[in-house]
Amino acid sequence: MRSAVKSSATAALMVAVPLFLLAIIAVTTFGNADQRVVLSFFVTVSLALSIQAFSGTTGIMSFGHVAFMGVGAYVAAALMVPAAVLSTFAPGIPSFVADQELPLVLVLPVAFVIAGLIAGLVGLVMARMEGEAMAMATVSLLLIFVTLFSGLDSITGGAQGVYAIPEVTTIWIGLGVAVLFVFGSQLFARSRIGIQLRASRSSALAAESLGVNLRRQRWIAWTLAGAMIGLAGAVWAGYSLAFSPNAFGFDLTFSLLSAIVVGGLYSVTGTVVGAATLTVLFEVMRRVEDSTGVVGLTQITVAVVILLILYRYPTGLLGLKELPEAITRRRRAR
Amino acid sequence: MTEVIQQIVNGVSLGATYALLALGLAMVLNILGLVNFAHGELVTVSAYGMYGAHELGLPFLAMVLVGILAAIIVALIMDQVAFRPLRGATFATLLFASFAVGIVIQNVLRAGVSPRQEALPFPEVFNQVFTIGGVTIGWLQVITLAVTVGALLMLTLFLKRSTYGLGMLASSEDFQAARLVGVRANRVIALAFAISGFLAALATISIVARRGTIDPGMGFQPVIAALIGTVIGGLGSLTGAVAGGFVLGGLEIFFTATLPDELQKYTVAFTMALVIVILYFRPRGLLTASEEER
Repeated sequence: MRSAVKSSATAALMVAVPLFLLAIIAVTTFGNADQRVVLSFFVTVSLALSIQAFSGTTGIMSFGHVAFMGVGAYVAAALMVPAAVLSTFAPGIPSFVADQELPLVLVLPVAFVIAGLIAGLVGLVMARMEGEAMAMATVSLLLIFVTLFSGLDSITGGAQGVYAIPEVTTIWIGLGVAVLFVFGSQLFARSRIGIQLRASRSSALAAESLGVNLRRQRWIAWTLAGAMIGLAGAVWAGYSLAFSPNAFGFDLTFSLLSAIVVGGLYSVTGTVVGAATLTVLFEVMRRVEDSTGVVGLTQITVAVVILLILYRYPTGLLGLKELPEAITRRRRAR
Repeated sequence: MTEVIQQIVNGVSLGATYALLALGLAMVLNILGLVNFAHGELVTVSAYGMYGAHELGLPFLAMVLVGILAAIIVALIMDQVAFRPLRGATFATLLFASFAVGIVIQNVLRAGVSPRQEALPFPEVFNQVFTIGGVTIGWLQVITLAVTVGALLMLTLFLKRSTYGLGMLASSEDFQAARLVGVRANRVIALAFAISGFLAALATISIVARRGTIDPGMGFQPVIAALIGTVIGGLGSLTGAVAGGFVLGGLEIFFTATLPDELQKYTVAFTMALVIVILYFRPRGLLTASEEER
């Protein structure tokens, strides 16, 4: 256990140092717009890591966890938007919640717990399914939640969405959560449950025959990932300031999953590398698109590069390895 | 009673469209192990093909023909350019490759044609209705059903009677074994893509007739419907995919017809909840053999 903590901390540190330097450079030299890009990258890392905590350990794709990010974001809105404004678009929120205007530090654990509870309840059904059926059921799950977000308009503001969220997420909060998630995900992957789940990836039957309670362990991973992405959703709400139910659809789900798959589905630090690769690419191409005026150039290039990366590295940039190992391996190969 | 019959007709017709989509998706899935998220873009490409033909002033049947050719050609290019280098890759890798392909197609249309919605009018007959014994039925429903039944019959004949068809059928049962007895892998895969493009194009006719418009993102709803249909019917079964498409269409119309007004906005949620229930109790789909028989 101690060695798991130690190696998780090493990996987290390997990610934390460059991210910390990036944050310092951003704060001291970047303009407002570019600082937002860096913050958005940190939040993307946290969101993607949450899904990776489930999909990376179990090997089952989840298209559904963005639903719990939505739960976290709506919880944050209910607790942070001033009561007078909140009552104009979401009059159904009980006053003892609506009257609160909590600081982000208190909102984050609430979002973590509520998203975790809802994910846990849903997971009671989901985690009992077979792998393929479960992956497909998560598609349905996301559609259900997006419909609910716009349907339950008295507490969510309906299709119009939510606005007037105070701008509370700073670069440092974004960085802190991202690094915390890298550490937490690594620790989880190296825990008893994580090891059992990773063993079940290649053969669920073999793992179960060796005494792994697969349903229970999958439920735990599912719920943990749901709680994590709920917290990340609250962080996200604190910098996007306004959002509508469509924000939690397949577009975001796919861009997060792309980061995970490009970096290496089974690698925690790979997710960070994948998110960084895609963010840099996206930002560069967006500027090229703006200066050349070719509509859609960014999307096309990003998609083609994802394809090229998958041709060259079918298991993602880092494959099954984590960052320290991935680098030492390369050195040895030289 | 007449209303019930009308709704059944609606359900069967919507289900027919979904069945075509699900069957196309299942053809590729069974042989290549690829859930082709760009299947929806085959619908989009076909619709834009029809739109191009319409702009050139071609008659309706020529429009349909152009739409079919466009979808088949793009499906074949997709296979050759995007998926061939990825033979044998994992499920997730293939899935994301197909997703990337879909994004490329959407944005090429956005940049090359128009990012906005465009109107694509169909002949009047698609909006007309006729009455039999007090039941009002739309020609759209009849045409959709006729096209679907025709396509399914043709496909069944092809699969059961021709050498290529048998090779495909065998490949969709067990690709490795089929290769061992001499079925040519790349040819069968190309054929599967061509058929999936053809079926998507047929589905596009009813999809565009219902919408009246086209836009670069129009493939999303169809691909989700195809995916869910395939899953309900049982991954790995062609007949299952067809049945799954009909079940999904039926469910959607059933909830639209029976849910009270204040719950109408949750139609999608109810349908998807039932899909989860089906997956929970029959993870291998409604039609497939039970565990013991496998």
